[in-house]
Amino acid sequence: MMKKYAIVPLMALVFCLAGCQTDSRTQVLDTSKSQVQLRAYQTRAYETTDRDKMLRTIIGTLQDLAFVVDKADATLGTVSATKLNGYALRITVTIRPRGTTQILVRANAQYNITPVEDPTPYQQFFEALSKAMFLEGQQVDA
Amino acid sequence: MQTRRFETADEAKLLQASAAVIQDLGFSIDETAVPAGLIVASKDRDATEAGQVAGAIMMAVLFGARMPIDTKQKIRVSLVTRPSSSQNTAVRVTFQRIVWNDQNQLSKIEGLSDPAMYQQFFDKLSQSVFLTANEIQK
Repeated sequence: MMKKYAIVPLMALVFCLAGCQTDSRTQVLDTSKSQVQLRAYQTRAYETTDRDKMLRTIIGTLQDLAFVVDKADATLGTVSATKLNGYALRITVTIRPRGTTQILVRANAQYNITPVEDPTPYQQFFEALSKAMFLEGQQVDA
Repeated sequence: MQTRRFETADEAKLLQASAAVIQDLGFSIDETAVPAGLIVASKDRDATEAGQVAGAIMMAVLFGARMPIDTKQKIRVSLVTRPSSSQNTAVRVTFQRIVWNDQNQLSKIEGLSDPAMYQQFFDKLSQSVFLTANEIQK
C-alpha cells in the first residue's frame, strides 16, 4: 500500500530533476545559443547614416507594434520598450554605425520570464522596420 | 573581481561593445548615461530549482506542509566605464538579483559575487570588443 503512494512523488522528483535547473544563478550569463549566432539574427544593416531618423523610425515601428517606450538614449543609440497584452514582451533595440555608410540595428527581447531566441519574431520586427524606413535591411555575418 | 582594464582610450566604443554584450546575454537596457559611462540593465528569468522543488514535494508528502518554492527572478546589472590612464579604460560591472516565490513574496535579494561569473562576463566583453573592432576595419 505504502509503495503505491511513494511512487507518485518519486516520479515527480525524477521528472523535475531531469528537466529543471539546479542553480538559478546560472541564468545570469545563460544563453541557449552562441554569442555570434544570436547576433546574426538579431541584427540587420541598413544603408543610411542618419542616426536620428533611424531612432525615430524604430520608436515609431515599436509604437505601431503596440509597444510603450520605457526609455530612449540618442547618444548611445538605444530604445527599450514593453508590450503588455496578457503577457509582458520587453524589447531593447540598439543602433551603431558600421563602416561609413551603414547603421547596424540590433534587437533583443524577453517574453515574460523567457528570452526570445527564435529568429521569426526578429524577422517580423525588421520587416516592419524596413517598410517604415523604405530601406531593405541586410542580414550580416556578425 | 568586478573590474577589468581595456587597452583603449575610446570610452564610447567600449560602452557600445558593453551594451552589445549585455544584449547578447538577453538583458534589456533600463537606464543609460553616456557622459557618466553608465549602463543599467535587467532581465526576468525562471528561478525554479530542482533541489528546492524536490524538498517541497517531500515536505508535502511526509508532513502535508506547503513549502513555497522560488519561481521567478529579476537579474540586474550595472556597468560603469571610466578612464584609468591616458591609454586605458576600466570597466566595472556588478550583478544582483531579486527572487520571488510562488506566493509572490520576495524570497531573496542578493548581490552576486561568484568570481567565475565575472570572469565569464569579461571574456565575452573582450570578444565583443574584438568583434566591434573588426567590424570597423571592414
